[in-house]
Amino acid sequence: MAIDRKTVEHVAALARLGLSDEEKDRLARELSGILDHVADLSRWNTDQVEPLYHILPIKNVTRDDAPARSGVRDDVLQHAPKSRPPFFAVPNVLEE
Amino acid sequence: MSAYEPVVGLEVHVQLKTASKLFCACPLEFGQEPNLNTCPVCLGLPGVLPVLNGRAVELAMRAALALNCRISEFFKFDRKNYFYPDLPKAYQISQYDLPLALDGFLEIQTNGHSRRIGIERVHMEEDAGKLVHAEPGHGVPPGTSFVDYNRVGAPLIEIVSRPEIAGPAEAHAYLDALKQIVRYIGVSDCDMEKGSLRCDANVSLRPAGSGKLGVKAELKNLNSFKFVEKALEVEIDRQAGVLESGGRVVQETRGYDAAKNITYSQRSKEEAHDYRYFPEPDLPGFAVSMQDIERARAALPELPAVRRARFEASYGLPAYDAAVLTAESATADYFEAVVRTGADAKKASNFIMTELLRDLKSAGLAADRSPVRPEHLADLLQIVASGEISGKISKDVFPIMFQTGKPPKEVIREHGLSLISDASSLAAPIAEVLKENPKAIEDFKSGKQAAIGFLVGQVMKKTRGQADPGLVAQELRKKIGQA
Amino acid sequence: MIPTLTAAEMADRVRSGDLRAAEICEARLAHIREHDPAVRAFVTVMEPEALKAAEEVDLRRKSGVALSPLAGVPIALKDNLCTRGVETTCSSKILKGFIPPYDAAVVERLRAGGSPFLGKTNLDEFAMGSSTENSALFLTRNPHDPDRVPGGSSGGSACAVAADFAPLALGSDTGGSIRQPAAFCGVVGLKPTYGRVSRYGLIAFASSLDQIGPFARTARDAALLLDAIAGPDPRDSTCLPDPPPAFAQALDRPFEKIRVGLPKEYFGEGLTGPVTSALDRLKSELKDLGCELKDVSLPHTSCAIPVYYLIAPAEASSNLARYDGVQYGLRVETKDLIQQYFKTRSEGFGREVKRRIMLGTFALSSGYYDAYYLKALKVRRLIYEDFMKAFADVDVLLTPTTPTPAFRFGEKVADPLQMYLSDIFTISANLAGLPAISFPCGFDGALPIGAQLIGPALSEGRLLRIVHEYQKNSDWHLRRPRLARRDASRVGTAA
Repeated sequence: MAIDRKTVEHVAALARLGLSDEEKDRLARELSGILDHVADLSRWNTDQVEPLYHILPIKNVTRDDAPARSGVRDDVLQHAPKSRPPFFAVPNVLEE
Repeated sequence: MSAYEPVVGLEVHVQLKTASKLFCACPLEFGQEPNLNTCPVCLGLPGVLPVLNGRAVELAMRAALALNCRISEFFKFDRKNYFYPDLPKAYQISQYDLPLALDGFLEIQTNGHSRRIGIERVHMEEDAGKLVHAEPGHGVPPGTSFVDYNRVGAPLIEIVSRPEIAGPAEAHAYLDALKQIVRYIGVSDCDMEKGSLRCDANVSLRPAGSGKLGVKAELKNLNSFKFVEKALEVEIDRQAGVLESGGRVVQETRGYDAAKNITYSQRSKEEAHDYRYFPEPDLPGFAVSMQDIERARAALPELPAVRRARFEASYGLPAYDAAVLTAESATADYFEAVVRTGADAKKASNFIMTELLRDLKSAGLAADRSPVRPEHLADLLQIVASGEISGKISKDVFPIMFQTGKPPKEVIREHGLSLISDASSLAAPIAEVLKENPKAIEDFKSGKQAAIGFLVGQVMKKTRGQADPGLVAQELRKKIGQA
Repeated sequence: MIPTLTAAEMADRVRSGDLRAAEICEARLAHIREHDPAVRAFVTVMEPEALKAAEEVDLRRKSGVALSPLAGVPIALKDNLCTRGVETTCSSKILKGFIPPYDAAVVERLRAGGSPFLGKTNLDEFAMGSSTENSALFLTRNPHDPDRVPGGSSGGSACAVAADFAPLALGSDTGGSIRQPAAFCGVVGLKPTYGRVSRYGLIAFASSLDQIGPFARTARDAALLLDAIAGPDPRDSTCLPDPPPAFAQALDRPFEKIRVGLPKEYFGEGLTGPVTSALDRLKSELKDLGCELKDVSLPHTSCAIPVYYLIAPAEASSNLARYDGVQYGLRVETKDLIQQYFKTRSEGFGREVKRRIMLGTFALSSGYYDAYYLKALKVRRLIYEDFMKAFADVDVLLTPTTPTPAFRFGEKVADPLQMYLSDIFTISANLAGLPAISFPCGFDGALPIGAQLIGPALSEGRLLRIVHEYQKNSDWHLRRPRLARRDASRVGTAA
């Protein structure tokens, strides 16, 4: 399948990736090439095949409801790009 | 408005009453210092992994069963991907195509009749954190928000109703019934102020009698049941206005401004939502056996509707009493503990509904924390029945019991409240009353039987209610006859 | 003096008191100082930490405390394994300055066992690549030929062992990232069964495929390292509850007759002549050791790359969404939060990472999920079933690890699809969750050639026994590169 620039822009917006014009064109080309290769899969009929979600034979993995405080807060805040302990700080979301 | 009928669906998030978060061991405490209850897992630091809280699964399953859902034989978790600073991993672990439970219903009461509202699904997911908008000054650059992740990862169930709710009042009734059940079974506190119950509403209009659904708006941030009702009312009016003027309703998210009593569009410049759900690779799936379901069902307490019916049938209580007593499981338990000691059911019901619930309410307590133990209340009712004190005095005794936690006999003794049942000690007050009320004596003599009641009242006043009214009436008649 | 000792030998000498752990550690650090400027295996050399850990082992020995099997044996760690208090970058700009407040489970176990960590090794950014050219930091050179790539993504770890900087190293393998660089660098590399080793603290690329495993020169050393890191972990729900067997101890059990399957899809076109002849020689040597060879078929082999390049990027697009500049790592300051996301991620991620995030986001997006992602999950089952059928007839499968020996810098980096195709023989084991090992079986001039054995789930012991038996009868694994001393920075800089 061919990926056009508009699709690239839509996907980049979903992934929150800022792309230059040059990058958009290149990605449209590269992704189209990869998806052409991937299209080979359609040769195989999988109507009766269950998707493989987990390769593991294990299920029902749980832990006890035992609370414990990690004590990492101050360490993490100290290394955060911006914080105002005890909070992390971010710029506002500017709505229109 | 009459040309259209509203269709409402509710999405209710309930926080499960666990001690730790859904996927990590951080404690869940309301009102804790910001970010104290965080760890690498809920902060989404690189490389760490979620591990499912088994108690949360138990509670979620219990809620699903109480809502008459079918528990899935196999369920799994999925990632819901979106960017927001209150979501540290930029995905929420939720359930998409194979949720915990499907196809239930909730029985609701409106205008005295009962109706079933379908429940589409119940699924588990983790909560997000909280953005705190900073007040300017204190060296905070303008345009900064603060983030508190204490709540991130709290275990939630989302209960999605079918679009079968007929309007604002029914929505309110649905929420009341839902909250009652969920609290009853000990799954959540359902405290909207603490955020342990949250509600979004989908609402659309369709021509009356039509089977097709119209375009819906999603109302968010409705932080009380009253606001849900009001927001739905104004949104229904708004949509009716749009349709009647020939316009079209747009599918969108809307907020509710309680001060202005309006709904407003919350469209942002963000890309249209595409959550790109996919199976959470870090969590193996969950297989539920019949035995698991039976065990969870067996652990389920009697639900409010069943209990209400039983209270009517086996205690002979009026429907109203049964409803009030079974509204909270603690109250119903209390009532049954009182009756178990042999107290008369109706008398116990009256006393609990008027005296106990009033005092509990003002003390902010549930019945299981009542300072008056059920056996003490039963004793009190027994003392009234034996004639040792009057019903009126019992209402003075009770508040003291409530304050002190003491048994009724002790309170009565300490406060000298036992009934004056000795005719000789009534002689003086009766003589006084007769002297002060010659008119009433005349009236009685001329055949007005009601006058005796007035005189009894006067004597009771003088004895501060401690006299046995029957004995007073008998003595009064005797004295008037002699005169 | 010490370079030629194996990890097992070092451990024995430390235990017996013939060598101090600190001496071993100092010698490795000196070797790194001398030769790593030409190879550039390490992103961070942890000299003080390593020496301190080594000295503690010596103290413990002196005070008569029993030492664990790898005590005092220095190890190199791929820089996508979290190390408490030491910067962990994934060779990405976006994690610059990220200092984890926790150790990965494997790091924690090794630390408790007295392993001095020599440092963190270079990788393709977020383990996405096959040559380590995608490191945002610098290029790492193949010790056997400085004009060629070491393979990837665990290129730095493979080089560290090949260049004798460390007798042992840890890598991670999502589609061949341990086995392919092991083959290119002439060392042993093992990808364990999915779930054998805890992933806690491994910075995720594709969660359903990632697995941590050892690099070593010998099967015995790899077995010792696997012994140290394998086993259940309550912090990783996908970690198997089965207690692992003692892998190193089992190596010397009598060598039973093993049925070796040769999947015809792995011996077709595309193999270079030297690879084909090395594998032919290996086959007859295995026969001499008593193995029975059998032709088998894995019909869905050609699907492996398409399936992998849908599933891995899809998971990666979600795993890498957290790098948004809010809590750690790089943040490009803007007034608006949404702009901050776009700018931070645009500047913080390299070209290949962006490409895969785009591919994965697309494969999961509305309207394409069924055709791409869901289809890939279904074909993944077909690939898995191929292996199950094959293992009904044979005990292990033998394949080349790569179609060619190490390629030159820049040879494939321009064409992503060509780069992806170089993983053709290693990806299937990840998709099926199976253990697989690469080991040196010949040379093409100066360049090592690797062979791969794939076994059923939890058969690491069998794979290690075969390689151990082979290594007793061959010396490919002992051929060491002649290390240059020139400064790599003169030859080229990072892509």
